[in-house]
Amino acid sequence: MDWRSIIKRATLALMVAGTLLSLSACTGDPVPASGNVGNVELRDLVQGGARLVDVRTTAEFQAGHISGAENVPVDGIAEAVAGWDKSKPVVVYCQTGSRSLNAMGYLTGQGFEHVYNLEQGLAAWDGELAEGEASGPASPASNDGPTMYAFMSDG
Amino acid sequence: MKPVVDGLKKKYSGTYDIRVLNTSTGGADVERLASQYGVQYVPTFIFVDSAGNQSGFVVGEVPVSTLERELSKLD
Repeated sequence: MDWRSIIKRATLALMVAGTLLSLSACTGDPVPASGNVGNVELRDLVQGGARLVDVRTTAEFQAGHISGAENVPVDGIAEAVAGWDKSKPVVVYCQTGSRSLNAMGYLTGQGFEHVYNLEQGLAAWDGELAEGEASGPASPASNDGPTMYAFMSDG
Repeated sequence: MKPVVDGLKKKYSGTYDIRVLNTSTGGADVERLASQYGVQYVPTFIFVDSAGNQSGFVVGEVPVSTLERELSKLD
């Protein structure tokens, strides 16, 4: 084989590799098993049934939170998660991503298999915020003890 | 029913978590929960045990004894 053939083959291989790389960039990276995520991944995870947890204080939560989130302040997380299903994905967030990073580390250390942290926190959230008290966890599973939900209206 | 539910909240404080969800003003959070539990009419009362299993579903303005009976099943 002469050097011209070698160069041609190498060039062809590089072109194929480049095409494959650009294709994977277009389709996007899959969500990791655990780790930091952005707004798009958070929405995908929640839509897929992940538990969404706001680890800020109650006052911060009531002032504005992502719809569907339950409030578990980070200093009370150990007690709150005691009965949670560790195989179910959990997404945590706070204002800037730092308290929730600690929460993610704790949950991971406790054996939770899929834990995600909204990397830049609520500060970079691009959706609307709900106000007021948590209405309960977005998922039917409740670990707050026996609960009665009374759905009522003003009318 | 609100006075009845408020009375239950006081009576069973510390035993059962009784949450009033206003479908008129609760917003997306309440809508989502209502949808997940299949709530179509108000008032509707959903009973969930500590393991997250739904144990009761009561629709309408029922006697307080009915709600207390469902609550007792959560023990």
